[in-house]
Amino acid sequence: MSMYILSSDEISQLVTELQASYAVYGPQVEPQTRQVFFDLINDATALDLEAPIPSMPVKEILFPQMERILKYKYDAETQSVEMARQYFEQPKVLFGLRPCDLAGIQALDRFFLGQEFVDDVYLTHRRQCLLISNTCLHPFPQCFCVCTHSGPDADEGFDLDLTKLADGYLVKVGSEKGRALADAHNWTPAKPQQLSEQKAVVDKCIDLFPDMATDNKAWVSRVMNRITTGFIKSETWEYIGDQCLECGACSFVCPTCSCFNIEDAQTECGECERLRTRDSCSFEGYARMAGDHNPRQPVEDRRNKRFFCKLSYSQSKKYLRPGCVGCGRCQWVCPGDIGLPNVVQYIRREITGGEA
Amino acid sequence: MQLMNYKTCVCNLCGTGCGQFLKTDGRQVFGVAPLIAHPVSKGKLCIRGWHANELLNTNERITQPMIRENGQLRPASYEEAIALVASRMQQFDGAKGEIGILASARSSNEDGYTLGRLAHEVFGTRLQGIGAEAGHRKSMASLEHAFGYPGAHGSLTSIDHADYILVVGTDITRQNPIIGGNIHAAQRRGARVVTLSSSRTQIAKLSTKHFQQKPGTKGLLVNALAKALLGIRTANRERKANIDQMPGYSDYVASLRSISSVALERASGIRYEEIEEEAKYLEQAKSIVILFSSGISGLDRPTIDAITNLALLTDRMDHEHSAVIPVAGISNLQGSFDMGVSGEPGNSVFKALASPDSAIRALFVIDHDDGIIRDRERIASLDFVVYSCAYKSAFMDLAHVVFPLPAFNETDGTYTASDRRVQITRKNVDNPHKVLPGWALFQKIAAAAGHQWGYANAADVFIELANNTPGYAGLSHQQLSQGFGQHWNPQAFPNSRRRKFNAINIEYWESPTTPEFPFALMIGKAQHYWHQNNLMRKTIVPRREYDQTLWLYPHGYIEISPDDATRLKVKDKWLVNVRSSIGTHMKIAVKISPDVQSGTAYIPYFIKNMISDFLLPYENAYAAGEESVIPIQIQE
Amino acid sequence: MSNCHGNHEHGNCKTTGLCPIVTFPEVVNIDEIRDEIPEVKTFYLSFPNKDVEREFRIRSGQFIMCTVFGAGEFAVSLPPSPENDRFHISVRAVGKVTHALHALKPGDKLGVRGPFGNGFPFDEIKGKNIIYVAGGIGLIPLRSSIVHALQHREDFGRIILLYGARSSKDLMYQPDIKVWQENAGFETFITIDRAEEGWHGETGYVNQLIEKAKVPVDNSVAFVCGPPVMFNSVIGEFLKRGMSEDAIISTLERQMKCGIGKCQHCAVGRTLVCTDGPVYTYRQIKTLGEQI
Ligand SMILES: Cc1cc2nc3c(=O)[nH]c(=O)nc-3n(C[C@H](O)[C@H](O)[C@H](O)COP(=O)(O)OP(=O)(O)OC[C@H]3O[C@@H](n4cnc5c(N)ncnc54)[C@H](O)[C@@H]3O)c2cc1C
Ligand code: SF4
Ligand code: SF4
Ligand code: SF4
Ligand code: SF4
Ligand code: FES
Repeated sequence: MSMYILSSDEISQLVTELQASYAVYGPQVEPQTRQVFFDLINDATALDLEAPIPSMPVKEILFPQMERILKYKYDAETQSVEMARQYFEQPKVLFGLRPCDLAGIQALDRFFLGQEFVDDVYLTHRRQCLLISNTCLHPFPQCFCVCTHSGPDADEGFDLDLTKLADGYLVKVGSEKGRALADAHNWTPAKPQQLSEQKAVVDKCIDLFPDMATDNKAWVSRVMNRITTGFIKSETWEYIGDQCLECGACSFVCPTCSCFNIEDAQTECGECERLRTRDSCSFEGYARMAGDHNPRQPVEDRRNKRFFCKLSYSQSKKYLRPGCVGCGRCQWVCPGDIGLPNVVQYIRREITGGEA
Repeated sequence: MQLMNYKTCVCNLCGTGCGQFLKTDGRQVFGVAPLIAHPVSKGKLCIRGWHANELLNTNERITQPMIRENGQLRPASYEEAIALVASRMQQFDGAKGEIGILASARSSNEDGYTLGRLAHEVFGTRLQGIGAEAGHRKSMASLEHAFGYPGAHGSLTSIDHADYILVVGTDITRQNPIIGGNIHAAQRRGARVVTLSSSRTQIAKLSTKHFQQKPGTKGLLVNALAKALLGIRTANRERKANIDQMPGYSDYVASLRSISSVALERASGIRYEEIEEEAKYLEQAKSIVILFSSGISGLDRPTIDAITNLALLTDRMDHEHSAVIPVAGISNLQGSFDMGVSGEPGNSVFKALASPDSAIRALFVIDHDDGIIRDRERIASLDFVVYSCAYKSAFMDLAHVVFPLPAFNETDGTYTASDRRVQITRKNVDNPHKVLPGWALFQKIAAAAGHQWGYANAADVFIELANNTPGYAGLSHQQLSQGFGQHWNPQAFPNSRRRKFNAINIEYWESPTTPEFPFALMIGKAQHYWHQNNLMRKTIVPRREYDQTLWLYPHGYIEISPDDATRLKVKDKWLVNVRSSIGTHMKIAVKISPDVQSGTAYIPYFIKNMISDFLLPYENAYAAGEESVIPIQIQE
Repeated sequence: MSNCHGNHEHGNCKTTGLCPIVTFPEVVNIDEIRDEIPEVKTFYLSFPNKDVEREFRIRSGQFIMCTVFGAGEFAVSLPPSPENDRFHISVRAVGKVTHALHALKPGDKLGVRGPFGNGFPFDEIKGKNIIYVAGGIGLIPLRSSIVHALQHREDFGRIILLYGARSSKDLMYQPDIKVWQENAGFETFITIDRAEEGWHGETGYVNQLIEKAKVPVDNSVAFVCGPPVMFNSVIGEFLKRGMSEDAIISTLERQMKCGIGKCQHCAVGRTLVCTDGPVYTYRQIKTLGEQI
């Protein structure tokens, strides 16, 4: 793997240069609230590679909360229809992805593009997309990527990967596209000791994870085992389900949640648009069906569905990795108290019979 | 540097006032993100808040002024519509009660204030009211008496610190989910959360202690808790507070003393010993938060009085983390009250519409929920009805002139949450149809009638309203834009330091049920989002959720306990005949729920014909909100 | 087909070499509409684009996603036989989209994506007895397989249909049934819940027909489609007689939004009904861990 060392200025230049032919997205801090978003970059100086994990997952860009995918006009008089696709390709760069978000994109790639069918909407957004990841130097409060094999550094899936070292950013090339970009520049090759420095940075970051997170590492796989085999008491699910306020947030902020709803809505001029909006298995209406019964009615069954999706081997087969990438966002946004790390704790408590 | 696509906003879909970001390019809203730094919502949103983008994308908007001609609404210019309204309104005499104003609890303070001016100065009328006000007016009156000002005591953020949290009634995780979530978090951090409700709501399940009392006895139980607290106080002289100096104390105490534990238990189903046990925790607590719902499904006055009295009696109300909060279902219910557009007792627009011989001939309406149009026939027979709203609604059918309004993110405006927190929402999307904000529309109508106001923007309006509204002095748009708003200042009220007990009456509520009508039917058990009917019906996912129950129970449902179902020999979804003691009747499906007590039954509010045919004849029941009880019989 | 977004090594692309219409609905014309039973109509369809029509090949048990312009898209089974049959769907008006469909006239257009789903086994069950059991509109998804099996009558053992409906008015595909009843190679047993005037056939529930038909359990497969109550009682009956759980085959219905395994609305346990189903053996259904 070829490696280079770039100064902060060179990074900035690269951003500006990429802006000429791509829409460049990257982490930025909203000035009033200090909240971090992975948003379109207007001015290269707004990119903040040291900002904490973005509050919303980067999947927002590839799998928007709401989009119009089809527009049609039906003329009842002439009994004819005109249809037009509403999603379009745009070359873009995701600059400074946290490793967990990169892992999330890989999981979505495998789910949307790698199963029996290809999801054309996702593919269109995903095509011509350059992924530049950024190693975490220290964990943020809710992170537990060390338990889910998705951080604090990226080992695959990127075009370029950055790690901030003492004298600049170590840049790893991870793909042909990355290769081409490097070749087009006159970047300084990295020295071997800089690679060891990078390893040290990652090791230091791992050390900085709170005990709870590292301690959970072994537990995540034990819990996955339990969930896969279904050996979890219904009282535990009930305890979890009682805390769900059915807001959907956990799915909306999760880098790997992919569920959506489709609805045709009439526009004013008699046209119709097909809206694709994000959905969540926490909702009662999500799985409703005929015969007047909802196969997943009690809320605990629906929660059970979520954790099966995130933490079971069978679902992992679709993502070729656990469904959870350890970003901790669901813990942050849950008005109940059942973010994924907590659920691991509850199940852990069940396994140990209450002890730690 | 501002971000390209994320703009701060305040959720406008209930009275919690959560912080959110809208993902927008300034023309359309694509999504929502929670706002982590917000002191109340702390990065959480409920299903409504998370789907604000769906509402803001609806095609069911009113986009231009319209005038009814030959029975049909036709597009009109602002000039024409405004001129028509101004001239028609001049033909009615406001002072004689010919003009009514129906204000909205969702309007911004700026719109509410200017609507008030329009009503009082231009139309010369005081016949006014806010949709959903009935319950809140009682909360305001009780709080004003107790604390000296009409508004919440304390802040919603106190939930995160208080030792003891009492939730009276209200299915809060459904109605104001983020407050519910904060209460749940408080419980987990070790606060004692006590709930009082006749059915086992989600917050009841998540509480430390739930008192599942018989219907109609919440106030009695709160009073009994006060009595038990007083009992501890008398024994423990050190903790004797000087609340006995407050006016009304001795009457209050005398009333409390008269509570008989036998009668209490018979009426409420709760043993006094259990309450005494609870009082010990209450006595220990240094900071206490009491929450109750206010608005359409609010409590009755005696219950609210019992609550405010108990709050004073704890003697903990000066603690920085104590609070008494009437939780509003609608975003600016509190602000609309502050702006002075609520009805005066005995002289409200609702009363005028309901009395057949009132003088009312014209009605000026802002943004009314389409689920419930009370007195529809009367309104239809009025000479002139003006309706303004951002979204299409059934009220348009009744209007002679219709005006569009911007959505809450299309104009600057301030909103006052349940705990008096005044927050500003900045315009972050341009209305594609160049629709005038409410205050500007009212200003133009006033101008057409010869009144010049001279506001250049919403900030101007705010400057003036801050000068004229007690508590708002010192606030401004500029200042509210820093941080997350500010509570209005109770000390602007001269009585804010003079606390008083409300007079109470101990009544052992006799269930109106009889052997012939053995079920106590209660309305308003909140089903998801009913109080946002008009708005939620314009979303996609929340509407689907809202309709869930309707799919399962297409004609609505009546919730009864499993035991009663066995006794009646009915199964879930079977149709039953429900007959009330005054003879109204409906056929409705049974929903069997382990969360309701035997002998009680619930129907949700949101099904139109249930309200109009079955409930509305019960004037009192409707007005009594959450505490109303109708005796019924249920037959297969 | 240019419209295909399959990964080619799966599904239709692999088995037939012909790709389904995955993303962009293809316009079809409503040629004819027939009232079937109360609330159910059958719509005969054709593709104006003959290239598409040629490549649109189905298997029994598959379904399509059908767009009613102005209302939305819904999942609907394919009742025609894969060979020599008219392209049609039979739909019960239950909600927004299906009611809008019922309001259409011949000549109106619909959008079609598909065909999707695994479909019923055909080659694998050659040489066996086939028992079709349907309740009400459960006959819709079975029709394709029935007609197909009869088209290849010599490939199978006994072919039996046990069909029940609430009343004689609720019996689907009556012209087909007439033809089937006259087919000596096809044993049909039809029942309605309660006796009614002019009805000379069986009365009672479908599960009671199993006894009547002397249903063979060895070397047999049963295809069962109908409301959950019927399903459960019929399965119970079959199991009691020693039928293998693998030989009982049914279809599952779930809310479907995409049809291509992405929206996950149709998730049942670990599988997605749209891509892994809708056809499952009873053994599979049992292990899915959710209600039917
Ligand atoms: C694989 C498959 C094959 C199907 N084949 C047929 C068929 O051949 N003929 C036919 O008439 N219907 C069939 N359905 C059912 C059909 O898809 C639904 O009836 C339709 O989606 C309802 O849409 P709607 O907008 O009219 O109803 P909505 O307005 O969405 O809902 C109204 C009512 O329909 C019910 N409903 C919603 N979604 C479904 C669903 N997926 N399945 C069943 N009921 C639902 C709701 O519970 C509600 O009672 C099939 C469904 C699947 C998944
Ligand atoms: S489940 Fe939670 S912690 Fe895991 S990836 Fe999703 S949002 Fe992050
Ligand atoms: S099923 Fe639930 S957890 Fe799984 S992707 Fe969908 S929303 Fe996320
Ligand atoms: S975030 Fe929490 S409360 Fe909201 S749906 Fe997810 S689990 Fe339920
Ligand atoms: S609780 Fe109220 S203010 Fe908060 S997100 Fe929900 S609707 Fe909006
Ligand atoms: S219908 Fe979308 S996954 Fe099955």
